[in-house]
Amino acid sequence: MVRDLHYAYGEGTPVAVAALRGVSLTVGDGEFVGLIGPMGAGKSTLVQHLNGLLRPPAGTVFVDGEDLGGRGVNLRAVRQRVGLVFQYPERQLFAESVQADVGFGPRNLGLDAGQTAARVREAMEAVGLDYEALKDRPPLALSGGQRRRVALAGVLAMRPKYLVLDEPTAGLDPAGRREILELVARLHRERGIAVVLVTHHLEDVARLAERVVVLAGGRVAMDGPPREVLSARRRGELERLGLEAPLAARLVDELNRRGWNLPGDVLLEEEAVAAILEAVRARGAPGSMGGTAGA
Amino acid sequence: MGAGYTYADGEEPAVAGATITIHRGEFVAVVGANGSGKSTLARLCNGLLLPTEGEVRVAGRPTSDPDLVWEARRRVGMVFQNPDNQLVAATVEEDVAFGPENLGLAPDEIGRRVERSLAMVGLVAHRHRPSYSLSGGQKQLLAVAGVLAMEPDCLVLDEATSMLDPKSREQLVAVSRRLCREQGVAVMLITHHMDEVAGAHRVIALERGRIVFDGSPAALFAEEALIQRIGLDLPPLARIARGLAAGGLDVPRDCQQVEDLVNWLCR
Repeated sequence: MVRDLHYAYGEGTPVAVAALRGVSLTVGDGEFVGLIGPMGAGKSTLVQHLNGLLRPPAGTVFVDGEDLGGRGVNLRAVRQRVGLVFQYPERQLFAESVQADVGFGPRNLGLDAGQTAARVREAMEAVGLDYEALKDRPPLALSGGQRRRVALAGVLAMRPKYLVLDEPTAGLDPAGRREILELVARLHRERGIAVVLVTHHLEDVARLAERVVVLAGGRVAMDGPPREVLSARRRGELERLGLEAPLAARLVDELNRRGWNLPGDVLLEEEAVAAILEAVRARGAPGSMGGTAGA
Repeated sequence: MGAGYTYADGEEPAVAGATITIHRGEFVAVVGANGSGKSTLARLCNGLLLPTEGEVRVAGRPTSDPDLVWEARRRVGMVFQNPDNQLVAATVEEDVAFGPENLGLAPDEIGRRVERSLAMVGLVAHRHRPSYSLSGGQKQLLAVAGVLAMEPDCLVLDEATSMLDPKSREQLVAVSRRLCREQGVAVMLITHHMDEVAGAHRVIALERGRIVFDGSPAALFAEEALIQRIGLDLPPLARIARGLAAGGLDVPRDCQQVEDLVNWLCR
């Protein structure tokens, strides 16, 4: 939970840049939250507070009731519970082998070699990496998508309760993107891990998240279920914040402006396809100019 | 011409037998799965890598000529994916000025270039900020502005748009098109975003170091089997159009914009 959080880069200097201006947000157990917003909205700054990596000059961050700014807080334990996957996390791989990298966190928890190896195997299997085949390989010898999964495995090896991912699909090819998204969805579904997903892909949020939080200018501008926040009704609000609805939604908006009568909560491509086909088949649904399109 | 490159520790060439010519004023997108050789191809273009087979020429001269390598790098401006490795100065403005200053240009010319480059990427409002305080996407835009200020003949963007939000990506594609049209700049855009590809004049697809497609974006999008084989995706609009076609609508193949599809549906 985050209460009235403020943060500025270069705080106390003449060039201070405010990044967060009073953010309050609570992420529930097992929730899947999509965190969206234009570039520079404060998304990455916010998520780096969630495990105590940045310390706020004003405001409070609580994890399971523990005040991260409080005296005697055990940040190591907090970081075990809140797993943070940075932008391009594979740039931080450093060890000589995959197992040494993934096992780095568990070893630092004080686990012995056997326990660490078990954690490494578990985490690698969770991200779909073959333990036996890859554990001794140098991370840099792997493909881009594999390296990113190694980085993610390093976080999962800590068995976090919360998983915070900052644009985890940036720079991956379509296959790699799908793999990572399916993996995150599965971790949420099967292990009940709470997920905060920072992304520019609103369609991914619409597909995966139970809740979407829009950050703009360092403040929470919108917060609710994707169907609500990204709906046609609130599209103007979204656009004023500098965000563009998914293409499927914009297509449906435009058709409705031209006299069609399609549902206003279409966000996904397959929904747009189904809605348009149905309208075309219905021929002359009320106000529809497109009723003859399929003839 | 038939250029190839094999890394010292590589078993297979990263790029093999690549024969392409990119003309002035042309906007070429390069696509392919991670590891297909896109970045190697880009690095061959300005002599950052010298081909281990064949030859690469910039403005008619081989990049392997040691006397010309700096000339090639001045003509071919490159932006890479990780902006943190490319930013050099304390503030946004100073960072963009760094290149022109090193060209020994007059102060008012430097000022003009900084102004124009920042405007092109939409960072004017942030000009006095410390570069480190920018977001990942804004840093990428700043890296692009720094290269634009060098006024290169050829601009190579190697996954330099990966952290941009959709609006900034659109803006950068529009800027690229304008540079091609108005100043005859050649642009090579390496990307995983197929909606950016749709805005290019031409697209080159790589598979394991080999060019497997070289043609118009619309022609590539029509090659569904190829797209699937090399691990790419159709852009969202083309996916919707394909879905409508599968549902029995006779959707035209060449819808580039939402408007095209809307107009067809409302015809």
